[in-house]
Amino acid sequence: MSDKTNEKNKLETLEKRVQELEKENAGLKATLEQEAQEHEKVSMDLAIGLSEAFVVLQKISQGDFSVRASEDVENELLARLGVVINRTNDALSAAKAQTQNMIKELATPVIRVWDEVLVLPLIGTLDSQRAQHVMETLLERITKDGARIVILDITGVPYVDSLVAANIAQTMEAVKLVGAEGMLTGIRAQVAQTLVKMGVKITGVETKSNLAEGLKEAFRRLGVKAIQEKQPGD
Amino acid sequence: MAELSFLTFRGNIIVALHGEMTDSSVRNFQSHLLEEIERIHARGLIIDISALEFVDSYMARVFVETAKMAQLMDTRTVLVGMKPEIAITLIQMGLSFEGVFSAVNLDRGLEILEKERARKRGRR
Amino acid sequence: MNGSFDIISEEDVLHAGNEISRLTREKGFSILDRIQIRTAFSELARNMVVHAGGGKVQYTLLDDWGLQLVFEDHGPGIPDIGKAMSTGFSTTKSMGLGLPGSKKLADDFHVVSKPGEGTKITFFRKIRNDQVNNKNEGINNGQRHDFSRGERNG
Ligand SMILES: Nc1ncnc2c1ncn2[C@@H]1O[C@H](COP(=O)(O)OP(=O)(O)O)[C@@H](O)[C@H]1O
Ligand SMILES: [Mg+2]
Repeated sequence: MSDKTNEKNKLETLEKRVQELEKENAGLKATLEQEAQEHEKVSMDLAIGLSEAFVVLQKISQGDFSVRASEDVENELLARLGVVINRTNDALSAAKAQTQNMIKELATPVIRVWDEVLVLPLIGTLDSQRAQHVMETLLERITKDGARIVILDITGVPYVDSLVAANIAQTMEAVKLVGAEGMLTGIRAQVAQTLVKMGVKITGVETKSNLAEGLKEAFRRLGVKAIQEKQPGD
Repeated sequence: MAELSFLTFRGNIIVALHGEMTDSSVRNFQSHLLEEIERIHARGLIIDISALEFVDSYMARVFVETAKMAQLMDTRTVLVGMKPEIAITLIQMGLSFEGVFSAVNLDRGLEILEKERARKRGRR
Repeated sequence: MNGSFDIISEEDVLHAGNEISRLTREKGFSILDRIQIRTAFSELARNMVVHAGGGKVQYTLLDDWGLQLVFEDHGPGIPDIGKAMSTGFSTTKSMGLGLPGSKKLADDFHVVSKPGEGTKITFFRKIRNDQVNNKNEGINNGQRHDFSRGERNG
């Protein structure tokens, strides 16, 4: 009798234990499922975030600095990636702007060849943006240096379009307005043709065949005499 | 309108414009200036515009006109100290300043007046 | 950022112009931009006072992009816009450079006018970041949208 009761008790305990285990199991399963879901979401977020980051990087590599990576995202890793990409972008675009400015400065070298005489030798083709920059740079220097005579040497400019031709004429007029005398040297055949055909008038500006003649004329106006002390071959 | 004061130097009138000018103050400036030229028999006139923030077509016209009127009274006019950006603007707008001398600074302005005077004496 | 000024007298032209100069200086426009905007402002605001008995200017500052000025009056209007836009044309024996000159200083410019009703002139100027005097040197402002060249109406 007691044996039987004993057996029954044991069985009941075991059954309870099984039930408990089953409950625990269900709990674990739910947690696992939840975790799996969360992982899936995180990896989805990561995938989307990374592909966005790649698009941004690709654009930057093509020289488009207007793009931004998002920094304000839930995933900390992505947020940090965004910050790094944006910083790199800023640095790159600043460097690019600086280089462009340097190229521009180098392309408009205003040289003071004598007291109050400035020479600006232009080399290569001019577009109207560069011509505008030339005008601004030159005028700025005239007022800063108090220049008297300004020689724009365009020997190195093989060709101009009508817009640039007009821009050169405007530059020479503006030179006069700020109070200097302008001279244009080294006009090439093509350029002369454009100037005349387009009816661009360059009024009141001396033109000389080359820079040396221009300099001689400048010295004559300033009353500067160059004296050759020795004859060549002496 | 800012008070105008004329400075006289070796028979030349020097006037500096600054700040803000309405159209009527620009007109006033012109008639005062011409009266002063007549009063002292000025030989030259220097208008210093280095302090002007901008020059529009109205002001530019008055400068050119004043120079022409002064010329009729045998007085040469030099415009001194035009900012580069103002020069670019006026030229791009299509203004012409024919018959007006320009100088980068006052010294140069006076120098131009001297030279003009010498040229006139030479012609005589 | 935007706002407006009533322009009735010569003094109004001056005061509003000073305000525009201040705004463009604060926004980092280059000296050339500022002077050209101020000059065009002076021309077009004066026209409202001289030819239309006054009007209103609305400005809109678009960050990193430019400045739009709209001049609107209920004056007599311009019967022949093409003629008025040509250099030297003036009904008051003046220079006739205000309209064509302002257009040359603009990146976008259009005039709408009806005789008897009034005139509306829109002036737009981009911020240039490639100029000698630009304060923003070294900062790339990224892509610029191109303001479509408006056709002239009226
Ligand atoms: N707001 C306006 N209302 C009516 N007519 C105008 C207006 N603005 C310009 N005009 C007309 O256009 C002409 C040309 O203007 P503008 O080029 O500024 O030259 P100006 O003002 O020197 O006459 C003026 O003479 C005038 O007839
Ligand atoms: Mg006008």
